[in-house]
Amino acid sequence: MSKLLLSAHVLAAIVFIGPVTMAVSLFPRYAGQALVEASRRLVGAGPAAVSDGEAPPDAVDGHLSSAEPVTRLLHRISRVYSVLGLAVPVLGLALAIRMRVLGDVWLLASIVLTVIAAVLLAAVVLPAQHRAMALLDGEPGDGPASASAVERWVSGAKRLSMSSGIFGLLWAVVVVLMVVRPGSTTGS
Amino acid sequence: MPAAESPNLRWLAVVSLVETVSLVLLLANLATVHVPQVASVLGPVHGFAYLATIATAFLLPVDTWTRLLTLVPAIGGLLALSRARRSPSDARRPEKEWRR
Repeated sequence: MSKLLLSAHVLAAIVFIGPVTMAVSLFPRYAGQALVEASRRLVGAGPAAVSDGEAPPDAVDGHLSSAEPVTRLLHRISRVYSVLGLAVPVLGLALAIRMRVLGDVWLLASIVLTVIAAVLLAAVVLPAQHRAMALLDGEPGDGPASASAVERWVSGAKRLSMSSGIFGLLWAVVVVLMVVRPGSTTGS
Repeated sequence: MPAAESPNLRWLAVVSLVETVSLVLLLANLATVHVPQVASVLGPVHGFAYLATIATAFLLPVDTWTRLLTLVPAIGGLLALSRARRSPSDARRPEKEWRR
């Protein structure tokens, strides 16, 4: 039974946490691009005006692809897979109780880091993504994405990138703790 | 589930149902045959459903009381669901509809 739980725990971590880590790290770039596109459309300059400015990261053969669908997908992945990712700590906890390692320092450290990562995701990353999506959708009444609000979001995008990076880093540390298990006498 | 169910609430409905049903099965197992393997499988399922219900409610555009209701063990999700269906909350307003 422990082996089944362990397999499910590792599989869930790969399948659910992996995409979240990827999606949250890519989101700031694409959301910033989509918001800039949206605000330029608003002031009348078409996508053609964009291409002679700074080169957008998605320009392929001179064609500018809209970043908006990608942004929506990344946001959806971030949200849905975050919820599914809750299976990982739950399975991990069940496994720890079964293996009687719940009091071990390496496990307690992992739990603390996991909680920090979860709070970072729920309190910083997802709300910032939500604000970007609200700007893209346009608040009811005042048209899509007012320029100053877009500017504010884009200038804050670096902080979102940083939070996303820290989120990924926390998971990397947790994985190392899970593999190395410093101080543990079970297994190698 | 009514046909006019908002797609948002459908997710909440699914995880809430799993939350309650898994607990009922866990308790039934405990009271009758008490197979430890059943508890090992259903325990994490219930734990996940409980957390997923809370997380789903906090990601959906529903009011704060509906969100807090999900914290109630065992039936919190179903309580929140019935409240969200009853009250004309944000989840029903199309302009606040989350993109799926």
